[in-house]
Amino acid sequence: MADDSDELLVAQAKAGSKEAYGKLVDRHYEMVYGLSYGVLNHRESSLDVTQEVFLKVFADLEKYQGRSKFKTWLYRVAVNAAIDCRRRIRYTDSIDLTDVSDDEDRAPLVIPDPKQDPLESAAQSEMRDGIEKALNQLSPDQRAVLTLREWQGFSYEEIAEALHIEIGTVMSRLFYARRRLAEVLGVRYKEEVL
Amino acid sequence: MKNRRIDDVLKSYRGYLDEAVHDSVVRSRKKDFLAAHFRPEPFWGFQPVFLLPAIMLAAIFFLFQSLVPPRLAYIYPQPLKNVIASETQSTKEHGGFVRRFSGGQSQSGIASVAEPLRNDEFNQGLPIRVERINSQVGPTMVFQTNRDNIPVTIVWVFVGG
Repeated sequence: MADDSDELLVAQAKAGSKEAYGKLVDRHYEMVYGLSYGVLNHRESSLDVTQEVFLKVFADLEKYQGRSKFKTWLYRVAVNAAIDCRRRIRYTDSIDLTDVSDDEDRAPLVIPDPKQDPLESAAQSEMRDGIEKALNQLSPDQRAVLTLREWQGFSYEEIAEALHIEIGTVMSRLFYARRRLAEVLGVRYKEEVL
Repeated sequence: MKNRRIDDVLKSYRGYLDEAVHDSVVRSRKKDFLAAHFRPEPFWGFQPVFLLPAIMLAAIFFLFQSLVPPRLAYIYPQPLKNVIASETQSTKEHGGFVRRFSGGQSQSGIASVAEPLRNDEFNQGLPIRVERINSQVGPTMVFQTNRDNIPVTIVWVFVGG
């Protein structure tokens, strides 16, 4: 419905409607959280970044000129906030994001399905651990590209626009991220990115 | 075969993020965040800009009503209380209706009581004697009961009294 387009809601939010901005938050919250989680791999930090992003965007809404889609602009802010958070944490060592062993916030609680085959369940658990291990070996920038491409389905151009980088950089980061993921999970990766 | 395995890896990666996003903690935090910062604005009548002055006006009204001097009490609408007019207070010289002040004038204001013309000669020949006149609903209605609680009631209705 045209009345619910992002651009119209942004215009209403600029005019002071918190309710309109609330609709935008409701619409994009999971995507921003997923993006943050893809970069940080930590639930609480990702939730903090998500809320911080929405508050920052609301405060800076006047700066949005409408040259790109609101979604692209929002994701750019989210990715940058998540990367900044990751670097900040790394420098201050306030949270050890690389320690998988005793951090309950790292992965969501998964209740095993009683109908599921135990072997299949074990394989999924092993796969999840492998993914976490692989993600920990990637830089925040590579994780951001991987998340935008594989989870959000962004094109190379959209990723380049969102992250303010060249398309060639997008391709190389994506190639390295995919290869690392595959290697850790025991799959030889020689596929060309293109 | 190789591509299929890589596709499986990427599919697992997407599933990994999907699980994280659909976590119940994330849902509840989103709900709390929206409620705390971007809840829908209330109906305009319940917004503070309208509601607070309305409450203040109501408070002032009731405060004023409780503090107003008794001599100004007539400015408030008050239901008429039962006014009992004793026989000795009747004034025949006015004929049909008598304007009378109740005993509690200082508290309850002015009450108008309609009183029929008392005719002692007529009353002497009747088994029932008028002793009291009560006004319960205002000056337009007066009813009379007999002294011995015999279930006989005489009601006069004075339209526009």
